[in-house]
Amino acid sequence: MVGCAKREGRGKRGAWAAPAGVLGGRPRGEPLCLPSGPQRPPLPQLMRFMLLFSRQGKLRLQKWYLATSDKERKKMVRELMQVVLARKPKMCSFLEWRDLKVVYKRYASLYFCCAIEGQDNELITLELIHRYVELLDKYFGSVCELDIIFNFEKAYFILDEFLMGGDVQDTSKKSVLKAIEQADLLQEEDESPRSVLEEMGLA
Amino acid sequence: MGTQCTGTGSWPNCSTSTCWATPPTLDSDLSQGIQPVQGLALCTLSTMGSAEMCRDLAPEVEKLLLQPSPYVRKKAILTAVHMIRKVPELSSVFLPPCVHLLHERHHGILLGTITLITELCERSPAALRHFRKVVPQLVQILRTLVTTGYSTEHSISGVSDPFLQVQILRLLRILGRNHEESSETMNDLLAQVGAGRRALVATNTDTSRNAGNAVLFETVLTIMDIRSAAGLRVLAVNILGRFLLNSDRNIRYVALTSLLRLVQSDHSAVQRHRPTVVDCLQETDASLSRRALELSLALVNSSNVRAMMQELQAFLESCPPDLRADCASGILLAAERFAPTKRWHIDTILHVLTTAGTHVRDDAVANLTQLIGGAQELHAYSVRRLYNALAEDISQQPLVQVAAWCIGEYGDLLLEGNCEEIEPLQVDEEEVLALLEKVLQSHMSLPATRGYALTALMKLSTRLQGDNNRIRQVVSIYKSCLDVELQQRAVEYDTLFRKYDHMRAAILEKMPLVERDGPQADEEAKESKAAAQLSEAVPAPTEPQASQLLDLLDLLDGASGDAQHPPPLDPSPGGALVYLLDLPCAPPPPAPIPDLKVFEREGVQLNLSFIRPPENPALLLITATATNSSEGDVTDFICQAAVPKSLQLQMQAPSGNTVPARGGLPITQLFRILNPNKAPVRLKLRLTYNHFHQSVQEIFEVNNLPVESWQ
Repeated sequence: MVGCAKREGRGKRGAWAAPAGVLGGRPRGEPLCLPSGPQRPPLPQLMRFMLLFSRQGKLRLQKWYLATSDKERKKMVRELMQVVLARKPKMCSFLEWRDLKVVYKRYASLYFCCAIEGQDNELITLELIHRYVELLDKYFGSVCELDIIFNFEKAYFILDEFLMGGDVQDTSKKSVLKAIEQADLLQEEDESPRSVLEEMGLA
Repeated sequence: MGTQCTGTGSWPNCSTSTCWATPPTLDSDLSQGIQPVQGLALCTLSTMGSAEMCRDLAPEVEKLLLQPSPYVRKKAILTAVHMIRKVPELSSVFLPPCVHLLHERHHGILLGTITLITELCERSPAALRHFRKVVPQLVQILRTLVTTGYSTEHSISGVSDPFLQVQILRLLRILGRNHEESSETMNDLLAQVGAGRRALVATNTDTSRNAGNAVLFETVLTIMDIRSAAGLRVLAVNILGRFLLNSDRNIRYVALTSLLRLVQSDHSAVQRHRPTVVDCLQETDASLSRRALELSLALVNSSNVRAMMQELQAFLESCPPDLRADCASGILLAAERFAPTKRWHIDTILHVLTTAGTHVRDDAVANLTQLIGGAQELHAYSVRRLYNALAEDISQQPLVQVAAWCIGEYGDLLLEGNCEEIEPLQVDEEEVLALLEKVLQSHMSLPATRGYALTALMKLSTRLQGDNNRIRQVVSIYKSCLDVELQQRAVEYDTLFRKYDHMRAAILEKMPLVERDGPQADEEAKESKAAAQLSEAVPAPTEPQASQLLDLLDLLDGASGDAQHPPPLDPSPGGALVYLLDLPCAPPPPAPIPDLKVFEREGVQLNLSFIRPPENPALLLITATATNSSEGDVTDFICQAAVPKSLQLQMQAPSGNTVPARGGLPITQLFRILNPNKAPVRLKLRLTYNHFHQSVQEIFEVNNLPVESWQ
């Protein structure tokens, strides 16, 4: 489980092989989560994506809540990083970019960026970012950028416990952290060696 | 086993082949009862679930909604939200449990449920109607949150669960939109949250912290969107006004953005915060000052225009360059709409041109010349001010163009020396000429500006008392200028000096008032008529330059007192001297429509003449001319007109209101009638005037207009 999580979406195949026939004919990079039937414009969704990047422009974490192609994502990340890094320290935390609102906050050397829909409340998004940082802080103990670099899967985990599909799951810090602790315990139990067949679920 | 697919939950990119392998394993994960595993499976589903997966696994998720453990339930609810987004038909599956789930006490479940209901309502009007009945319950939940005390687990700096509060407010907004009853139910609660009043001790919306402000802001958004009472809307605007005074930049930003949305609908409430908004112009952050600028411009009205313009002009001087253009055009527009006096208007435009001349729109020059031309009493004042401005700085092109035009037109007033509105300035003829020559020679001047300057010099040849040698010299120098436009002008003007000197004064006379939207083709029609007239007077030209000179004569000769036609309002655009020599050959004129005499009484006559401009067949221009052949003057002459409803009438100001006796200068007035349906034109006219010491009032209908005027 841990091994798979390390690959940050570079499109590599996981440990389980899918039947070859199913894969044939699907072009690379096309998201599988497209709605079936004629393409509908997405109705307003709260959060589009969340990015973490350093002052030097290195992306540390990206979570996308709306299906977009790889190429499009790279382009958006590049553009947005340029825009945010160009902001002066005295400027406000909100900016308008394309048709979205971007809420960003700088914590030490990391920029936390959230893109929300046009009609949303930016102030509560700031709170949301702060809550996430608090969770990281509680978990790692005085979190710094290095913690996130070396334990990025944990950072993703924490994010997934806090937000789901862009919406806040639980507003209590305690219960989120408790859930993560439990998951950690489970992971440790699970690290006993097992056969390949067992892993594939065939035994 | 169950943990097989859990790793995929953290893949940010769903375009992996493993997605294909997961549905059967997800299914087993969801049903096998180990909570963390279930949680992760739900997470996977909600992040990456395709439409097929969602359809397949909906029953499993529905089961999980009713499980006892809140950990799994809250995730199941949010997964349901995602499923509905992907497959809207699943709404029917997830709608029934909602009402029941609202009774839960667990914050996470409550939050998820409200998000789910919000999603359902946004997608289906039927669901929206269905959920209106839970409004009282939502109000109750929110009220409990606001009034009960501090709960450390869910609170942020003294505010109980701001995330939940904001979510509830958002749902209330959707439910209350366009629905009186629901809006009423919410009114009290919103007032309570907004005013920060609390029944018990805890300060639940402490406004110094972001969380509290976030809740207040959401309250304001909700109030703005539902059918709220007027008092509530004022409360919302006041909250935003308080936000403007907050030291936190972010809060000022949201306040400015929201006020901009409100300024149309709640104008008077927003006006009360005008001073604070104007202060925000001084912000260092460009996005804030831009919003402050937009809001300030929206707040300008006829009562505060002077004060606001002062502030805005001060801002213009110090604002960042990318805002200059918007600020300048905003000031000019507002000045146009609300100018209290013409002089103030001219001053304002002048100030904008001196401060931000290069950023103004192209038509600013035309507008200003039009404005000055129309304000006869201010000619002396304008020309002096423009002369002073020009003497200081010849780099701002729009200013230079207007100044050159004015000096050309009103040069005689400039040299007269007395104008009560500014300090008397003794201006020498030579100084004026030197200034214009400086403009001509400066490398900063655009070709168009040079054209203005040259024409102005030419006009001064008739306005100044001294001899014209200097002017003639300059003109002949430019005869060999490399710029073709200037060369052409110079050649023509030179010919005017040499061969047509007797006509020079008439040609270079003061221009009559420019009609602002005068159709270009209109002038062509007129000038061709004038051309027909003049070709008898002028000998057939032999050189090509002279024929162009003929065109020149056509255009400028309109007002030289030819009494054969009733003098039309000459539409040669004053500010567009650049076009002077670009006139194509005039198209064959449309057959002129015969004039019509509509009124006669004791020597006072009213005649109508008609023009149909060829490029706008729906337009009919009528010039009403009042003449007086009697022995007594006609004074206070007012003509009013009415047309049937299918037509649109616009009347321009008359040329005056007195017709002196014995064939004195007639009064002309232009009517513009838009007749898109080609309906027969009928007019009802009402005349009032004083004649022979008696006041006369006449009302009559004109039904016999020539057919060509409307067909």
